[in-house]
Amino acid sequence: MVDIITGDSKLLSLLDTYLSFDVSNAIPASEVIAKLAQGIKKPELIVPVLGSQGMGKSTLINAILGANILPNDADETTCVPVEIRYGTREKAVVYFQSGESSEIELSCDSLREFVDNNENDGNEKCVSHIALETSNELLKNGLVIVDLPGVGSLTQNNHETTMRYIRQLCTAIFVIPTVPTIRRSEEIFIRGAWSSFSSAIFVQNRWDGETDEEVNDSVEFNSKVLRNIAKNAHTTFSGKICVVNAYKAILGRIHNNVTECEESNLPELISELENLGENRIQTEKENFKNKVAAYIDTAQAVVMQFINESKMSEEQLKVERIKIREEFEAATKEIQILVDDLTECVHSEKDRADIFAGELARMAAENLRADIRKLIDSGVVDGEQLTEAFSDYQEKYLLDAIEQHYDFMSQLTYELGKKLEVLSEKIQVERASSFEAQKFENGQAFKFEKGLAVGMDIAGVLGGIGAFSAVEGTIASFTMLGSLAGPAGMAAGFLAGVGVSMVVGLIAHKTKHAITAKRGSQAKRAIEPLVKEYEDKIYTTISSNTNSVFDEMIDVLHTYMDDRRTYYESVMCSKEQTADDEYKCKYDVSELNEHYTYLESKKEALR
Amino acid sequence: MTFTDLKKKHDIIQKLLNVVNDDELTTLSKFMRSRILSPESYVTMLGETSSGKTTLINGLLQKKLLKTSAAPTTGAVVEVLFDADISSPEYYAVNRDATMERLDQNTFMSLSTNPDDMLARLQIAVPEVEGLAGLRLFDTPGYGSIVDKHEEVLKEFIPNSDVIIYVIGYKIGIQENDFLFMRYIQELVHQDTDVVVVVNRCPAMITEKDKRLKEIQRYSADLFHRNIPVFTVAAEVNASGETLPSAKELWDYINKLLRSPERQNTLVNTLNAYLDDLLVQADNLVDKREIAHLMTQQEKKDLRAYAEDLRNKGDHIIRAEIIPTFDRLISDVPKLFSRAQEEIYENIAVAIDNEATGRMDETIAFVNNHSLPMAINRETKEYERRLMLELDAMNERVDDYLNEAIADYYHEIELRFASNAELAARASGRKIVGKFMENGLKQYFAAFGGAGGAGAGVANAAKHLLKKAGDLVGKRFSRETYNALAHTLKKIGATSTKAIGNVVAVVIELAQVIIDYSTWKSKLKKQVKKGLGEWYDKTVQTVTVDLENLREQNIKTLREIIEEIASSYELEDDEVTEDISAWLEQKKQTHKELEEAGL
Repeated sequence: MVDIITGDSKLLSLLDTYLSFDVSNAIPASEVIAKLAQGIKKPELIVPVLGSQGMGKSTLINAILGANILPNDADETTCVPVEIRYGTREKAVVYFQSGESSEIELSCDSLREFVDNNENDGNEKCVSHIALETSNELLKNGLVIVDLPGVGSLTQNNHETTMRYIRQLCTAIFVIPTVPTIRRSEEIFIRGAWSSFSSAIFVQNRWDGETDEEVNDSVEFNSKVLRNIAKNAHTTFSGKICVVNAYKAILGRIHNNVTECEESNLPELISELENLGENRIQTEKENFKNKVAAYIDTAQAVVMQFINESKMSEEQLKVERIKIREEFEAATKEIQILVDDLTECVHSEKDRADIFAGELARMAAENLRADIRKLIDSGVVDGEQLTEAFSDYQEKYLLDAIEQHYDFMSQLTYELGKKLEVLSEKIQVERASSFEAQKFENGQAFKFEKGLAVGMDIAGVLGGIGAFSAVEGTIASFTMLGSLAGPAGMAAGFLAGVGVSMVVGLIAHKTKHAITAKRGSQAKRAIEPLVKEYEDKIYTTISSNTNSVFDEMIDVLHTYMDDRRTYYESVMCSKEQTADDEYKCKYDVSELNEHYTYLESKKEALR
Repeated sequence: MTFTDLKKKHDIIQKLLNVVNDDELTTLSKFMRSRILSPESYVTMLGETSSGKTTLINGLLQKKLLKTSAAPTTGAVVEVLFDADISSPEYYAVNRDATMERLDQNTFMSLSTNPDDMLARLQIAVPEVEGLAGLRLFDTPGYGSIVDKHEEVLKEFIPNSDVIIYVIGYKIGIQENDFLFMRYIQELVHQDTDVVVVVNRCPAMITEKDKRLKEIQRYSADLFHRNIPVFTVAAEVNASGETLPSAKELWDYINKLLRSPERQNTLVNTLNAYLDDLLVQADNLVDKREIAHLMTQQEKKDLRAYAEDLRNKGDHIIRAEIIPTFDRLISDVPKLFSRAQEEIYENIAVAIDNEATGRMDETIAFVNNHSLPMAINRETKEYERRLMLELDAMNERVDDYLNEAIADYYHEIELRFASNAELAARASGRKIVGKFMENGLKQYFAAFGGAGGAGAGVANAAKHLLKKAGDLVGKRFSRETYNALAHTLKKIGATSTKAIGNVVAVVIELAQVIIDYSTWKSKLKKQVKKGLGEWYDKTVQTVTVDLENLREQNIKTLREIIEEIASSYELEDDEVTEDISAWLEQKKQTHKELEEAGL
């Protein structure tokens, strides 16, 4: 189907021709179609693996790959993302933040130098990511597995890269624990990250000592936790948790022991991953079809308009023009009211969120200060111990703050969502009743989707688009809505991943220097600036994230209104020109009819 | 709106109530009347034992009416009621069964130190001190006694207070218990409750620069997350012992807080909402009678059958969901806490083993003051989270089932009335009844404890709609259930935190004996294990009891909701009077008058 379309030069040239009359399509349709087609042929499917430290992420990845590729010592923590993709030659390349790269030997030992927190403390070596290539069958179809730093080991030096994966709206694997079940800090992390991904696979890593009963109980409870998170994060949970004994699986795979492999339940996960690849291609194809159909729709609308215009007298054309203008002005007025209301609402929410962020930060800092002072008062003045306690408290109160912030944002998203629905309905109504509106909205849909696909470069394909339109159903449904919801989700994910570790990590580091070997009142004084810094950090992390979300929302709304105005002005302008021209000579009605029928037949074929 | 408006509004509504003549509504109306005529305010004194709370109250009264001495004296909660209508103090006991009895002074004094099991609290009515009419002042025992024996202080007094006075003795300063208690209070008070800290028995010449005072100020601000006014009260001693501190500055400030326009406004608005509720209930009753009047015997019979069906469904969901869920939760308690206990122990044992042998003192202090409390807090929070999640899931199932049952019920009624346009129209209008129940006057009255004027509970009208618990959690649970849940969660937190104190005590024992450097690690680990064992016992025991209470509360609330809806069309036959025109006429008249008066 894809080949038929990309090979249909008549169709492509018709689309280019007619869509060139549509000011909202700046890039020729044939170019976009070619790009999309390329994406289907060579789809890289990025699957990040996330989870807290010590959950056996690296072991699980090794099990999936059937080889001990990643170092997985007990106390190992991954501090930089590692991508593993298919390649005929085994190789490992380290990419640095500076843009440089160097090839290293593909072995646990040489990898450890860069990925192990003990050897690359806080990613001091400034690695952006590591790309491995291996000739594994499972990866042959474009699956790229990414080992992401655990929640506790994100640092300022690696969060940028991590966020790039998160922004791609791909499917993620979350590794969750069996005993104990998902803890509060993990729940908060999952809550933040989940909404950033288009879908998620949950894998519960089972250890040898755990009984069936324990596993069943914990699956049941973890499912409840996940369902609850899904509810709060406005996403859906399939209800499925895949239990895998990664340790057994890897032994089984390395020793080619089929029974062990079956017992570990790894095959279930692998087939899930294969499905994912399959579904991905399906989604891409679906997306391709929808896009081409939308192009054809718009082109047909243009043709139909030409045909109509050719039948009209100059007088009729004038009347038509006035009618369009009046309809546009009327609809704009109504939409403007809703947009103004929404903008005002976003503005006031922005202020509210900012004040709230300040409150949260202040309360966290006050709690931190009270706790640490109390500890000092109770006679603990040892630097090491104070430092340990200080970072415990920091984490505790930061989690409180983030959790409350999420609740706040959830509520807000829900309320803004309701307002957006009203706006969206209004736009739908207009769209259904007017050619021009339909053309305009189709163009908008393309535009905002492109805006959303941040970080496309890594994916090498039009990454987010497919996933996104799959989420939203059809291309016609309003991407504006989606693009507003999108950044909110991202900001949340950002906070979850970066917030905890960055704030805690940064300050804990300094604490050590400041309070080692100080005593009593001295220690209290030394801690004061750190508490202040903690407060500032929380405030800026939360507020800068929410601010950018709100700014983006306002920006989207304004751009939409501006585009709308510009679009209609140019439509009017071109119509006036048509009227001035010897307009009827321009149209060859029989040719137009033939084009229309041709486009229609292609549309039929797409179905 | 002002109190005068409220009075006028009540007069108009009363006319309708007079005609309707319903016992329950009449009681509610009387209650409202007294609230409007003599508005009350609530002040609770909190603080550790022997911080001098009682002395401050005696100082306010300028008479040693309450017992004080060097040893902890206040074992019961004592309420001081300022009553303009009496000339000399009167003593009462408010019992747990909501009865009241008058006491003589001696019995009162001895009960205040050694309360018996029957006693909920003591009450002393005193002649009005200038400007404090309607004030109800509560004197409480220390933190430990409150958590163990006086749940009502946590559940009712603190959330219902207009002002909380936290008293700290200067000589002792802020202690561990104050720290825990203040943090706990912070979770219970609503944003608009004022908190004042009093540093009692200060040296006579104390200045603002005093180090201890500054420390208290700093802790108060950090723990309550706001600027807390801190008052100092000097110890006044003369040859015959301690004199009564007048603490004029403090009481003037409290008086000013209670009279602030915002506080008065909130009160007026809440009372107004209750009056509206009263009117709605009266209207509903008239409606109900009118409907009953229009119905045939057969229709009444059918309606009774629908209601019965709805009640049965309510019973079903209680048996099928609520009881089994709670049973499971209760049976899981020992397992979960024992797992937590093991985990805490293992982590701490590893940490102890990893310490250098020379760091004995540091490690004992650290384990005691940080590792143990932190781990216990964390595990407790995990448990609270689990409970919340399980109950939320249960509630969703119950809600889904009940919503369907209730929708069915209304649907049946609509179908039944389909041929009778008059009844059908009324039936759809009546659906709103249920929603008034949640926040309404009846609940307020119920909390107040019903008969006997100053009953068993404390109900601050202005605070009642604003309980902190209500704004913490979502919307699915009915308010009362949520209050109960939130309270249970906090109580678990408090019990556990308090149990930490016991653990710590166990470990401290160790620090006090000189230990040999070669054995301290194993001894410390043993003490930690012992302390955790005590924590486990205490926590499992209280959590189990709390869950049982919560189960009963859930069942009760659900039954009430079902009953409210099921009975909305049911009338006893003798309630149906032949002549309803007088009611309809008065209803119209009342509404007209209210509208004309702009109320």
